[in-house]
Amino acid sequence: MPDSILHAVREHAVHSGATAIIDADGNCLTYRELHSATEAFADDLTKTGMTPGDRVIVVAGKGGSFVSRYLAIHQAGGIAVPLDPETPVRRMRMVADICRPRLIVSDEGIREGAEDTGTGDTKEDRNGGFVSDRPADLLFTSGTTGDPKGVLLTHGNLVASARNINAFIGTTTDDVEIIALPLSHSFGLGRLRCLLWLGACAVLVDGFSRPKQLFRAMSDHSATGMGMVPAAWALLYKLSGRHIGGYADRLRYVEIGSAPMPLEDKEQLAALLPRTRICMHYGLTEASRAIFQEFHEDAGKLDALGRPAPLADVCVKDQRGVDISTGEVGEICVRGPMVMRRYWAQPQRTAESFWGEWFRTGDLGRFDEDGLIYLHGRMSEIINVGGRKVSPEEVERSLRDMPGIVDAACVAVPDVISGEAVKLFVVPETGSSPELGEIRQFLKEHLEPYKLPTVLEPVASIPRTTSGKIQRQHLLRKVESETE
Amino acid sequence: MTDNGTERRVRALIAENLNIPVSEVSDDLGAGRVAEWDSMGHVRLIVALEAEFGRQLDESKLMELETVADMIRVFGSDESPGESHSDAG
Repeated sequence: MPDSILHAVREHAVHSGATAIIDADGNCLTYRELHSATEAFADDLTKTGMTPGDRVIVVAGKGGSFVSRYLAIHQAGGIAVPLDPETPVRRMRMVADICRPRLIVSDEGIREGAEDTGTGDTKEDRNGGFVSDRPADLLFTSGTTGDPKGVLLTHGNLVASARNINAFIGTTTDDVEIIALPLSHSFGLGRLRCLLWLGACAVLVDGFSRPKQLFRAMSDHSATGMGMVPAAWALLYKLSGRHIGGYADRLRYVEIGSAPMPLEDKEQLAALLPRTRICMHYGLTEASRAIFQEFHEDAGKLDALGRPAPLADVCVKDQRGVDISTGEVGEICVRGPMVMRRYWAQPQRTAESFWGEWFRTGDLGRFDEDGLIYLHGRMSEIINVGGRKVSPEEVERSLRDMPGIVDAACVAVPDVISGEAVKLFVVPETGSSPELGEIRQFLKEHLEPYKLPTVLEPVASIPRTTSGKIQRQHLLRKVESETE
Repeated sequence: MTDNGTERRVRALIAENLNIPVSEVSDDLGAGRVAEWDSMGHVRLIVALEAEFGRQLDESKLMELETVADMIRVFGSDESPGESHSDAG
């Protein structure tokens, strides 16, 4: 068995002439061509003096060239740090300060990264023995305070993750899958890896906002699979209604995840695609997909998260890290070969995130007597906007320099499209009345678009503890009472 | 046919939603061309346009809406009831 996604691609290149990637412009890349492009780009990388263990930021543009660049970083022994092209400069600098990249790769070419690239890695990162133990990807996600945290995944983690997901969904070498999810995000990148592992075909489509293009790609390439976040389904339904039902006989599977999905949306999609395996995961960048449910097999129990994924162990622990009984609510913890080893250069955070080998998800849940796992809220204050995490503290911090605002606080508010959205409470300066548009305009310089507030409420004061901490629960209760 | 009033209203609403000057709302502007016009921004924009014009578009028309020019054309045209979406394929 190959010990990395890269080696799997190499094997497919030798044994198969199949198409690996079809990009949004219809350009095809076979596995042989993908392998050649990977080798050529890996040569370019090593010519710069890059050495194993170096981090390389790879800006995940919309073309298929991202795939060969990403694999080439692995080929050169580097650690790939995929970033969205829309990442604001300030956040990109924060990521670079943490991971000290040797190189930054984008459509513009290869450029030098940090001068000092020695921070945060360990000897094993540079000299590790088995390929499966060597770091492959460093994925940045938002911590509770908004600071980027780097999730370090080994080649072994990536292989285990692909095998785990493919085993549940039943994806095969013959599948052709539409990927409209961003490849910089762990869900989209994970879908790509699943297909590359098998030698299947990925059709890259530019998001979900052009359903005509999406359905055309599905027809033109006889797609048999697709992945989407719940917000994408809400969007697709709003823009195209029951149109997806016309593909019911062709679509073998759909993977959904990254955010909770309303029960009625699950039932609606299941009705439109009665013969498709619709697999919803619960997971985190740190632990890949840990829990799965299938909408038809689990009909009647779709309010649960599902059962542990094929390669995952899941348990529920109390505040001391002790397993608790069936039916009791505690923290959902995950163990398995796809779980990350550590956060980059944050030993304290890593230590606090594990009970032994069990990764602490920060989500509350319980098992029922049939072995189904139910979610009971989250322990952190992170807002989940269509599958992407937003730290309220980061939004509040970014507003500090905005004139006319004395104080501010953010909470999650229900949203029909994105599941949750950011609601901002502001205390305006006397005589000032900042409007939502002005605030969004100001924040645009500092934050990605999905982090911008969509609801604004001026208030006389922000509830705070005596030590000055925002009492977010008070604000959440206010939101709940207004939406009831 | 669209009148100038409709065109102005559509452009102004798009500019307001995307936080960009009206002068930047070109005919070929569409989802993915500016950071705020992502998938979710697209739906918010359509919902705002439907509210502004007091119309609920059916699926076949919604699927036409990819660029500013499409929005001006669709919201500027008379509502035609009984439209249905085409089958997959």
